[in-house]
Amino acid sequence: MAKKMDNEYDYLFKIVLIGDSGVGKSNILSRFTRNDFCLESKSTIGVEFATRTLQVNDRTIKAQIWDTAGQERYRAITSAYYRGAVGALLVYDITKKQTFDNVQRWLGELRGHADSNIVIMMAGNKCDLKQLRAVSEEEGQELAEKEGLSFLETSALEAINVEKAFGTILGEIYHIVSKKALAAQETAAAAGPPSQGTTINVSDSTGTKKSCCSN
Amino acid sequence: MPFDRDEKRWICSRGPMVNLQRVSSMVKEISMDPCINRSPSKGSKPLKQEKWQSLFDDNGKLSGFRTALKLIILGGIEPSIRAEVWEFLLGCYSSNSTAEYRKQLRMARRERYADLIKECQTMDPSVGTGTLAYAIGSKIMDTRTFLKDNDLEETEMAANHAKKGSYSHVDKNDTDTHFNRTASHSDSSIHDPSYDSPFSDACNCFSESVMDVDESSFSSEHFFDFPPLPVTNLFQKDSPEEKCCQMHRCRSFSEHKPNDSLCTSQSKSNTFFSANTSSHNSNSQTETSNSNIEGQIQGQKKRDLKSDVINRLRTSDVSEEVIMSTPIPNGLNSRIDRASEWRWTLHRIVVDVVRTDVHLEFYEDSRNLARMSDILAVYAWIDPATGYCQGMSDLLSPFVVLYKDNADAFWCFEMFLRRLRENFQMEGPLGIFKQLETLWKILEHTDTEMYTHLSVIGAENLHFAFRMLLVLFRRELSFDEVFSMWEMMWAVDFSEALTKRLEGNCLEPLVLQQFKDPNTENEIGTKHVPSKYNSDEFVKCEDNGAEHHYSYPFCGLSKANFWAKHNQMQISTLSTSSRNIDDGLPVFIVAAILITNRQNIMRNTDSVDDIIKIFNDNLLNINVKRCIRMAVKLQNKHFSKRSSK
Repeated sequence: MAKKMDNEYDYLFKIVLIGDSGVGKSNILSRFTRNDFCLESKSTIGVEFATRTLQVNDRTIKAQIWDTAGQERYRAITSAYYRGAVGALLVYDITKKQTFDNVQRWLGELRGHADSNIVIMMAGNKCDLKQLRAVSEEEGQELAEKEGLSFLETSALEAINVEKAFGTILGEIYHIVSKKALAAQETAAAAGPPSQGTTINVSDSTGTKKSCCSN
Repeated sequence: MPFDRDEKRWICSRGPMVNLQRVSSMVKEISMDPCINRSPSKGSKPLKQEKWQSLFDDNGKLSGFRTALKLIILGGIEPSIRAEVWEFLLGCYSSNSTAEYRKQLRMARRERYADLIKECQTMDPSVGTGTLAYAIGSKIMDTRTFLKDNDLEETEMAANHAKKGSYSHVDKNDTDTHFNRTASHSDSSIHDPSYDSPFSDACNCFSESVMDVDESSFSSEHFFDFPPLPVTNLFQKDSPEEKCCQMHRCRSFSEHKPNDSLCTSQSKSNTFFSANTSSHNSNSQTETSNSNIEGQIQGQKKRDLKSDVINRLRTSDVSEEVIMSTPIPNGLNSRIDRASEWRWTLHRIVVDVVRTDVHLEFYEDSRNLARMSDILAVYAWIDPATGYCQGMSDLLSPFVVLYKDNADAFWCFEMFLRRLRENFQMEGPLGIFKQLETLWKILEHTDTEMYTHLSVIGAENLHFAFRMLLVLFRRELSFDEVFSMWEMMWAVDFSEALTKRLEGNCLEPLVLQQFKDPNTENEIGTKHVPSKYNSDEFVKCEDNGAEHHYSYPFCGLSKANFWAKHNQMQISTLSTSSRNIDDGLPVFIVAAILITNRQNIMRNTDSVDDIIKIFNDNLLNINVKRCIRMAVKLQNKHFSKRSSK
């Protein structure tokens, strides 16, 4: 088993993937950890996870990403896995308005069960399906700003922004971990209530995102 | 399967029965072997057709069911008779029923299912047509259109999806010809587009339409991915497109003459949706049309009540059934809420159906996916307290593959779910948590080393076994292995106590009542009995002219005659005390899997994460027959321990 081999890392960061069922969480995970997209992937029952080790600022970071079942009534089991998570990727489907409307509920879940300083990024997935778009990028951006979240539109199918989404989360976590004192100041300065998670400077990610998904 | 090799070793009740390392402590304890069948020669062979047929008496009663159970536990069932045997294993039919009775019951069930399909069709016209309500069968769930004004974009989109491997593009906008293009299906009774039968629920819908529904539901002409639903407050934002479509819906309603809606199912559905979603300005018109329609429906109902009595085994008017069987705290309001909730559920169903077993060639035909969707949709409709829960599609799929007739598949699935309903509760998978508690106790008593190891690595909650218990090994085993696992599992757990419990779990819309003349024992007909029936008593029917007849629950099971009379021998493994969900065989199978993989688990897991990984990534060795055998021993040990307390 390979898991015994990759013990050489500086940091282990646990990240949870949450969002309504069918938004593409499992495929975002497989794209990031195995560079794979499976059209026949099954619904996630309970929780699963995969890991990937990567370099951030000359440090080796092992990202352990937990994929959770999307259906509400499984939250009794999935929310247990928010504990210890330092990052969250909250996914909605840009072709399904409902999944976007439910973002607030997922944020509530995180506030209820996760660490208050968890780094949250919102991802509007399936941005390759331009013609079916039901949620505009501006709407996503607006909500992200309101809630103090990072935001990207992604496509697991076409491998758009998946790397960047995780990279942003991991970079931010690393930033917080390596400069705890500074991070604390930043959080305070951002004026958002602590329960809304660590505030990220959204403008950092705007450039790349536009280039990928607004065409 | 590397099973036959160790068969004989197990069959003998002496000494270590399973060739495992480091399980001596456990093996000693569980060697009080029930030894289901001590004859090695019969051990590994599946129940064969000839044998099965020899177990019926002249009337078609399954007098040798216990023999069958023993054989199934040891060797499973030959594929050619699997569908038939499963119906007995699941409790769809009593072993004491005659062939004629089963035939009639089957027909009544098919009729009831067809009625339920029609009922669901009034809420979504795609149900029962061989097409999916939302998706086209692709993993990419997005082939619907809502840009009605832009045909160019639609075309472009279709091309785009064809490129990405969707099955086909069905133009859902073309609702008028929708039924004309109905796919040929296995059970034709369900898909007859001409509705000569009771008008069913559409009548309720019309009268409800006057109600003020702020948020539009979705229309059959416009396919939003997530129809705004009045029951949830998740649809606060009204996009311009939605408003536009709302207006269009109002127009389409005014173009429909309500009376026409009686003629075809399609227009009925359209009117339902339009009426359902129409806003204040169309209220007066709707009210007028309602009264006309209701009058016609009343007449229709009366006719049908008569035909119920006249026609043998005719099931009741669906509309009556639903009105009576549905708790209506707020009258029509709750009914309309329920329909909205159901449509939302239908969306969830389709999301999962298109990713259930799609690697199978069988599901390359999207009509088979639609069968799965229909059955889940009907189930969600008749059991709103459970609705649809992820994992159900995994549990249903084998039945869709095994049964040609949707009603038969539905009834088996429903009987299966009666055992599992606690796993799918709205408030969470409570049944699973109970089973995990039991699993922890089992390990504590049978394998202290494993118990200690799991404690040390912090895996006491045993969540890693969640998936196995929820979808009953569907994700760990191949399709064929699942067939074997399930039938052996059911055979082991089969008992009168369980079947009695299952009988009591019958959902009210599925209760079929059979009238019998108490003197002649001739069946007169069936009707739906709305109140929760008591299987121990005859129900005197006071209405619809059937006063002089007594009715029996027209069910596969009944306490009095469950076993054929000459088949009441006692077998220790088969007659157990009342078992609950938490001590059915599945949890013991998981224990057996842990024990048979103990070396792998002990060596390779240092943390909870490790064990979750091993379970999720299917790195365990699971031998179906071996697991069943060990699970039976563990279960017997568990029960004997419990009864000795």
